[in-house]
Amino acid sequence: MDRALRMRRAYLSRQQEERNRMPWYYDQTQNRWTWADYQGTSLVTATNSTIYWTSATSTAASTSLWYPGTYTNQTQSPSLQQWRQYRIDAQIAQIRVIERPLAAPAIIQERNEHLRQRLLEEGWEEMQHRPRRDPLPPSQDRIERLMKADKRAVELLMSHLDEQQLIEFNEKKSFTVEGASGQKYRIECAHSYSINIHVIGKRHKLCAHLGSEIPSADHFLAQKLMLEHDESRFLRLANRHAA
Amino acid sequence: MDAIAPTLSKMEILDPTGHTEITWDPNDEESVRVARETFNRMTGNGYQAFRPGPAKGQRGNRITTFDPSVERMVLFPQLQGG
Repeated sequence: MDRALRMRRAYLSRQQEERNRMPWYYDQTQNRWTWADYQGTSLVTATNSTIYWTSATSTAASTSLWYPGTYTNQTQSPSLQQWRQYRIDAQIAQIRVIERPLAAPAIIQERNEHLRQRLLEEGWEEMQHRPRRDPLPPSQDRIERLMKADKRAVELLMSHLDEQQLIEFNEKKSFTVEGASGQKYRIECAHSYSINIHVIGKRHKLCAHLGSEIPSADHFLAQKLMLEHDESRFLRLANRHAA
Repeated sequence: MDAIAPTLSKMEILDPTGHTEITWDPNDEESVRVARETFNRMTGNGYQAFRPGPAKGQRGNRITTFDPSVERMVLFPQLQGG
């Protein structure tokens, strides 16, 4: 599966998990959002602009937390951002925050449905289908600049290769480097700078590179220098992929 | 008698233009100052510097402080796992 897609799914999953820990549910009888404390000792009341949290077990004003909310509609669930802020405020006020309340599945379902409705209203579907890149082709000027940069980067890379590496590069568009440990690596230069380092004799490849705005040959040079002169650091940075 | 041309050292900074080259003469204080300032600025921004091996079979090393006697060095941003 595409790595970016996997990371996106993991991110959404973490967000969902965090949402499920939000101890809020909508009390239909009271017509307000309520704190789902399994000890039944806390109550949250919401007004048009603020959320007021009160601990039923304490009479001291200092243990209550006045939490300024940004939402103005009582029928709207607090957002993830508000919940995160709430936890920070609660920590400062030394109020115990229950991370995992005994929320019935029905409550979570209702909350998720509410969130889904909000996302639909805010144009989530449209966002998903919005083209992410400029559909216009790059200008001739930009193409020329990119080609010039590529050429300079290749020249620089070749100036850093020794004779054997140069022969290999010209013949196979790859070259072999040796780390301080004696392990040899083959840097593939034919295609992408991503997942292009074969660990010779092993069954995995390595991937570590610079930012995408830098020409490919510069990535290969950086990989070569790090593998040859700071191999252990490179191995700590690089991700492994099955060959 | 022909004058001996000074040996220029160079710093190659990998960037979107392919690379930017900065040269200095170890005997010229002004050019060394400019090169040192550039080195400090780039490493302060997270760049890492390497001195390639002077010849085949000889190892280079990572550089953390500017040394004007180094003949060639390459600077590039931190690599990231992909």
